[in-house]
Amino acid sequence: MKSIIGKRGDILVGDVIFLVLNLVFLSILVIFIVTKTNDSSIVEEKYAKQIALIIDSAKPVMRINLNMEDAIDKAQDANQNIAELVKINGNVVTVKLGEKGGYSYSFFNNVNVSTYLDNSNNKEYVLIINEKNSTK
Amino acid sequence: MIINKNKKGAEKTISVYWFAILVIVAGAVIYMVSLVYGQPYDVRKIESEILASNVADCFSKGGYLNEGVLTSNFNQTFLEKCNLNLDSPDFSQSQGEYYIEASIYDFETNALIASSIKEGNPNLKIGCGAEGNKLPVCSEKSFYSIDREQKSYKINILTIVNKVEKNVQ
Repeated sequence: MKSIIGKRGDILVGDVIFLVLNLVFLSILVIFIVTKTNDSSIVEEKYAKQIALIIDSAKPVMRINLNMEDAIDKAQDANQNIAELVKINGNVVTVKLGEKGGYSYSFFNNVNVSTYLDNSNNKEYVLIINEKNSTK
Repeated sequence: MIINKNKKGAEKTISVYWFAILVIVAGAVIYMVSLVYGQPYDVRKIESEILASNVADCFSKGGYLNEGVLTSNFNQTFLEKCNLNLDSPDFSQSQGEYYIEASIYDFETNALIASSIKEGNPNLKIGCGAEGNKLPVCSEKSFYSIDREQKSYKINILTIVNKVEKNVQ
């Protein structure tokens, strides 16, 4: 029978390289998935469209509280002023969570909309829907 | 006792297969993640249905036809009366991202009563019923209403939302 003494070292080096390559490969995959799923542009698009649809289906006079905790967390990570994440100009909603980018989407409901951060919890944005020529 | 003389070679072959499997799995995961998160959210179906509901609410309230609907100048003031703004400043070089068509028929005779209301970009109508990815989304709504004299009407509403640029890749 052939002795295997002195052969263990060879096997170990090969196994270690194999494991390291596997780990590197899987780490890259996980980083890719996490980066893709936590991309702030996706959150910007989601909230811009959601707010536009909320406004479209709203009637004067309504007050709507929208939980935007995940967007606010991302804006805080990017050192953004969380009180200015949502802006409404005319009939266009813009959500901007970072220095660059931002996402805009238009709505067709011809109403006056004002929006502000709910300071009581810093997690929600408040949408106030009024008639176009209303001063309320 | 079985002595596997080619054990090292077999392990190397397994490694190659293992990496091949990893590459296939990673490729599939990357493809699926890109497919799900690379596509924009398509909200046009909901948007066109909300638009149709808003128009329907403007025509009829509580089952009764709004009196102004049958007047001659309703077509000209339709957008203002129904609180609609079809401008889309977020779409550059747009010829109109919405289209609304509404007709009122006599329920008994099926005759068209008021001239059809047509607002927005009429070119979008070609896309309804056509097959393809980058086409506008159409919603149709049909309902019955009565006036104060109990005369019944059938109202057909067609709404179309284009906005392909921001909803389809």
